[in-house]
Amino acid sequence: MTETETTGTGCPSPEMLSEFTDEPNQDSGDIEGHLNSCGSCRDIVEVYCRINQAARLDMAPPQDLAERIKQACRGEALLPQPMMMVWWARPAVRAAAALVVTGILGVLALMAGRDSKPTNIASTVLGNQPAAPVIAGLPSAAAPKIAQNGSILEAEDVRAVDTQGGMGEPLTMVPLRRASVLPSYVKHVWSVNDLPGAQARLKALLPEGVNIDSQQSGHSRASISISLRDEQLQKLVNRLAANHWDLVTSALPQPSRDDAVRFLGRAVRYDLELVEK
Amino acid sequence: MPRPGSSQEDRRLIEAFKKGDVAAFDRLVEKYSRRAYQIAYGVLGAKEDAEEVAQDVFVRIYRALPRFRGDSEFTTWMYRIAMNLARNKYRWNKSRGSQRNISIDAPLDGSDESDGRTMDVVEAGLAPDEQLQVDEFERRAMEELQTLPELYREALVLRNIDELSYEEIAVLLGCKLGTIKSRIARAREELRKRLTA
Repeated sequence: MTETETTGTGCPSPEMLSEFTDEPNQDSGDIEGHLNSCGSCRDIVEVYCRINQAARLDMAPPQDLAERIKQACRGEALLPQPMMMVWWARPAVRAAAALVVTGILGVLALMAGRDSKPTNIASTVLGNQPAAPVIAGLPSAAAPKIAQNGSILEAEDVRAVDTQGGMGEPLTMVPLRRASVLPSYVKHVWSVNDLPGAQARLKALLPEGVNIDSQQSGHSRASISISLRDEQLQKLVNRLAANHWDLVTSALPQPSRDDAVRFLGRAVRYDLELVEK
Repeated sequence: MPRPGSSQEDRRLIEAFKKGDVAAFDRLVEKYSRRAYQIAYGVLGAKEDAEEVAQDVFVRIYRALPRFRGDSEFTTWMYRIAMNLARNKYRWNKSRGSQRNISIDAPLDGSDESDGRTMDVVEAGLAPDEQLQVDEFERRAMEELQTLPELYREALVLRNIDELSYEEIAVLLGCKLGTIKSRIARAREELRKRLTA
């Protein structure tokens, strides 16, 4: 070997062997030739390969990772309907909206100029109309919104608009409705028509692999405890509601409100209290 | 980084998403969620944290993609987000004294690159049935991998993510090509010494 970096014994350096492990096709033949005659270096390369294999095995993600990520992203979107995003996203629509607003303001400016009394143009335009709620999650290039005090709002700045604000009052910002992570313990009270029948039905509605941890029954009430993952819990709640059980408790998860929960695959202990109507 | 055909597909999917095609975003998730997870796991060494970071990566992408101009490849952008979030999570865990972390001092000897930071040992996180199926050598390799200093662990982990070349890793980590090769080699050599001692 003339060009390869070698150790004192004439063997390639660990860096050369490491690079050979990754890109054997880049080798000019020197290292491969050396490996044919050097058991020590062969052993080193073999260990490097096994380390690679271990690292790849260790890094395998869960099977349902992509699905959970998709659901989490859908939960982030406050407009689940793709068509609404299409409507806002089209440049022609944005341009048309800007033109209309400019035109209206221009006309009113002319009208105001003839009037001796100063007029709050923005409030004239918007004062008697409830401000349309602007929901974050839309592309930022949406048409600019005008607040009741006349200031121009960037789409990203607006989270939600208080439709009850009076003319000239500052815009009221309200928190975004965001997906929540379920706590590790959830308790729900369900109202059912037939308590014994509901208890029997529950077992059939549980997700596969989920069993009842504990159960207590009384005259007109029953308490049941189960352990499952957050997403499984949401699906169970949806199924129970579909079976005409009435959820009395307002805590998440709520039936058909998958968008309100951010699923992380976390374990949840779920206590159901069944109450006969 | 992706082959030319894959880059073109990514651009097509991004444009479709900007026009409202949510399924296009789903396709991006299917293509790259694995890599996001692997990057995060390489930095954090904990499956649950890696899942959380992978999810956060795509939530951020979902919000920011309408403004993505395409100055860089989507994968470059995504990898950087994953690295930054994973590193932030790592530092957060460290500052909070995660229950899974045990601090030990074991920088690589004689390394000019090592900053002598305290390393954290994280549990391998294998389920009992998985452990039965894993070769003893590989199991030890996984454990030792998590004890390497961050600089070396990241480089070696990224090398083992599908289709990531030395050049791409260098771009991702903001290092020279020679530095990346050196770090990977030193990580492997250190692991080899520990595993064959």
